[in-house]
Amino acid sequence: MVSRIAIEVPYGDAELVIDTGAEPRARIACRSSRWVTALLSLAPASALPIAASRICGSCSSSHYLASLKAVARLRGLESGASAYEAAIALEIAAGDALHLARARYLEPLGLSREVAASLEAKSLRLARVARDAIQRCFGSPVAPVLGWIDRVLAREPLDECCKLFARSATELINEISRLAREVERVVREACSYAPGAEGVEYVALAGGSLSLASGRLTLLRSGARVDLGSVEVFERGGGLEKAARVVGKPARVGAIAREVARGNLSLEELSEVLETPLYQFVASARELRYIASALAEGSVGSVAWGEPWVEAPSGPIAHEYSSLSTPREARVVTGSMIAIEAAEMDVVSALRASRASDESRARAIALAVLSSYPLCMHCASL
Amino acid sequence: MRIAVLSLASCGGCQQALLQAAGEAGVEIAAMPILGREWSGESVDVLFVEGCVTSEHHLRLLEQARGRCGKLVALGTCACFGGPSGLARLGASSEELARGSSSVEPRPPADLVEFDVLVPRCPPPPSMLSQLLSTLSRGERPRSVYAESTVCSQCPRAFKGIKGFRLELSRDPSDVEEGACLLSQGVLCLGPLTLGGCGAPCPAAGVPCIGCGGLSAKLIAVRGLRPIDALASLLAAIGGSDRDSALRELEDSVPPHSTHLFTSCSRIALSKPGSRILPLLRRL
Ligand code: SF4
Ligand code: SF4
Ligand code: SF4
Repeated sequence: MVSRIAIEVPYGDAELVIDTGAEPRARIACRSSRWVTALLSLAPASALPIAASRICGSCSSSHYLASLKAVARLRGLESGASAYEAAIALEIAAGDALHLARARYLEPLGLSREVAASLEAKSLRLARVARDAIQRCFGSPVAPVLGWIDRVLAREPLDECCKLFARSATELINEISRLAREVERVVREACSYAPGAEGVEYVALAGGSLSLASGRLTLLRSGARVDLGSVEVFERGGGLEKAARVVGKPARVGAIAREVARGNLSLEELSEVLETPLYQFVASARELRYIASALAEGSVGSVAWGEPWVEAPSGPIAHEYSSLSTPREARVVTGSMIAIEAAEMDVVSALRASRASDESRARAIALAVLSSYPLCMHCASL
Repeated sequence: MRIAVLSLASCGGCQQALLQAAGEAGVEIAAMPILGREWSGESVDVLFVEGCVTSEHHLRLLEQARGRCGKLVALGTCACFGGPSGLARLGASSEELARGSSSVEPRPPADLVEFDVLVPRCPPPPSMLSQLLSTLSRGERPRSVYAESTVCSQCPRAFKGIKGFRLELSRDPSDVEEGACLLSQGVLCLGPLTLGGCGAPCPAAGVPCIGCGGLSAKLIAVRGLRPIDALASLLAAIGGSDRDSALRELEDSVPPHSTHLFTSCSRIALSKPGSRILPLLRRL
């Protein structure tokens, strides 16, 4: 039985399609397209990174840097790898700090309003420090290619900005670390990414991610990098999007699915926990701490490896386009704050485990699972 | 002062700029989608509308915004002229892209609703927004963000005549002549059609301006003047030719829409007079 559930994302319409047949399936599709691909194909080749930064304003530097790297390579230029990595790490830090600014969602866990408000203010300040650092070192996201490459080759201002960011981050990170431990306990119980699940290797990460930071797919639990050779490219959205997924890994078994199946978790409890982006909070806090210390030590190389592969709504998406003016191809790899494929997989796990056959229950389960994901779909509405 | 953001089809970049500015100006953010708080119709002192209208849902939201808040601000090129999100207009006409496409014709909110302030640019710089926020919180009338200038007025390149009216869309920045205007070198640069104030970083580095700042004041003020007409007039005047033949060669050499990528669904860019932007511009 196929059921279509309309979801409203802030800037348009999206849809969750579930199939509760013998082999449950789920698909999230963004129905509102901004056709930014038209901009990418009409913009002059040298302005591609400038155009690509409009895929998503929150991840603008990711898109910018990823496409810049692609265009720089097409032109036979090699930019300073470590500076590139630091830039990506700063970008992730800015995004993570923004996630942390949603601290008010921690109130249901007993966090007082005052503490939540102070965390929010500090996180916002941190996000600004990271953005300022990016701006100081690389100019605005609309700064052109050559400017960026020049800046990258002169690493000094970047080092200084990384240290400044790390100093500003320390106080907040200590504070959130304490909270994060408690939050993590709850999340571990409720979230499908529970470490320790048997035979599970997963690549989908929420809330910014090591994959995004590293520029390569990374398995969260082991930290192992995924060989890009095992990445299979497939088509989504009626052929509109090219996506890629890692093949040969065991399917994830979500803790949500297990607990719902065992009857240990009612749908009401599930919604109560998952209607808060707790997972994002913990993931962001962890990664921010990791990134900040790596930036402070100047060892960002261990955070980021520099291949322009970043996580996108359905695993890493590589948008290919050729400029009208020059017969070149560039791979613009989009970044995203969430992995839609991960959400789809979670919905499937929950449906499979609950064996829900009546439509309204299946819809409720699917929506409850989905509510743990902030549906930022800017880069899905390309 | 309490502010909120209503985000339509957009990239969310304007919110980022506003967030930066709001921190400096010390205003209270009642709703901002990137902070996980949607605007749900509550009244605030200033409501910023970001993005372009591409669905029925957007139309309803925009209708809700009308008259609910102290001031209504169109934030960014998408809200003023459609911006990259307005390119849906091009996409909607293509068979391949039409599947699952937007339900309404993409329109910039500024063409549909009366705004108190328009802040084009993609995104507007945080410094400009914090100035706007402090002006609004003092209850003062904001100055027009339109300068008479275009990107060319800030560009370090010098105009050196023109080679012809057939323009290339792009040239490798390392093959661009140092210090010389890109248009002079036969490369399509939208500097003369684009609102100034960005500092011209793109042409300065040899990359043509793609017009992200929105239309120049002149293009807005002259009814029905299309960007390509304005460019043809300029080139014809400099090259000592008649406008019509300059226009023909221009149209032959550059693909449609490449002269107004960021304003493709705006009434002005589409040569439809009567945009609501015009009276607003005069009032400011
Ligand atoms: S105007 Fe530019 S920065 Fe603002 S939402 Fe539109 S594309 Fe993004
Ligand atoms: S046309 Fe372009 S390159 Fe020439 S002066 Fe204007 S902005 Fe500069
Ligand atoms: S594209 Fe044009 S308007 Fe936009 S930043 Fe570059 S020079 Fe300025």
